[in-house]
Amino acid sequence: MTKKILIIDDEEDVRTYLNSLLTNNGYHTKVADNGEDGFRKLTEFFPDLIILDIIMPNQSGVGFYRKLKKSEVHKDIPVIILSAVTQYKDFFAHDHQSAPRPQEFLEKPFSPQELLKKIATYIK
Amino acid sequence: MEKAIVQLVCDLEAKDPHIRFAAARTLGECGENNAHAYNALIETLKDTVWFVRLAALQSLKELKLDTPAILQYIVPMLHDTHEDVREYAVLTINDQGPEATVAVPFLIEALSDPVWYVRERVAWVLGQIGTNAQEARSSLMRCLTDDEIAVRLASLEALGSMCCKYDTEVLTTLNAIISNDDQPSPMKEKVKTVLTRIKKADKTPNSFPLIEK
Repeated sequence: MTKKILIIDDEEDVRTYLNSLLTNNGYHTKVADNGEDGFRKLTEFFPDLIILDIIMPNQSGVGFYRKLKKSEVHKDIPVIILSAVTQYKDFFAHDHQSAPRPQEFLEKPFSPQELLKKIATYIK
Repeated sequence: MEKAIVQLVCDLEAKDPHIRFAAARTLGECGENNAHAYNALIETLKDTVWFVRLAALQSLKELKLDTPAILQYIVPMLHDTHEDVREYAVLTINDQGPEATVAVPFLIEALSDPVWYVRERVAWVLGQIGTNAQEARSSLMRCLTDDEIAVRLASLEALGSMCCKYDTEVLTTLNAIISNDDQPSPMKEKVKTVLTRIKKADKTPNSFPLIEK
């Protein structure tokens, strides 16, 4: 069965690139351009993995992640944080009841091979 | 390096917020001990775009501000319009270690933040400050009825790190949680852990001067 990946990033170029990279590698994708849109798509698409940008208008990736981890239905979906700001790790540096650390961080610019390798770790 | 810093400071005025953002972040990497960079970043805390303000805050955190500067420039960020900036301000205050005590009154106010995960973070930081944040006890006790369980759990944890076995008001409240059938099991479990810790801890905070240690 084709695995589903939700891409949440406000940059259209990044969304297009990731969409094409993942589709060409056999994944079924959906894109969202901010956290709120991401949450709507999450409910209808129910992905196997989420690729999440941090700096986005409206709800940021941090807000989306916190909300995701509180959701009984979606909290176990693995998340790869894709951001130009490694310091965002600070937000996830301490394990909280509501927000255990994300599975992976990948700094932009990233290598497609590295991303695909990380994805394959979580969804086979 | 000085030339590069001058250029980066100029870039903080760029029209494109992404350039301002990148300049602010880079200054955090190369602006150590540079007053020009430091002042420019402080000015950038007033930027109109939230992620530029956040970048300035992150860089100032890396440049390790001293405590008076934290109070003057970082504490006001607890009122920022964006929750990520507010949460990062809380983290920056926590980085001060024991010196963070001076910000306790502002953190108490931040326990009323409209965003639950900021409140959770504030409660957690008050717990890190521990016995020096005892003036937060009553506010943390109020947070035990917060709508979000994450805030309630973080508040319990914080109370556990600052209260002692003589603090009857806190102990009574915690025992009431255990005997309340409406409380969810994670709350009851956490209360049990916290009560054990409070009873074992050999600490008598300053607010109980008449009790012999």
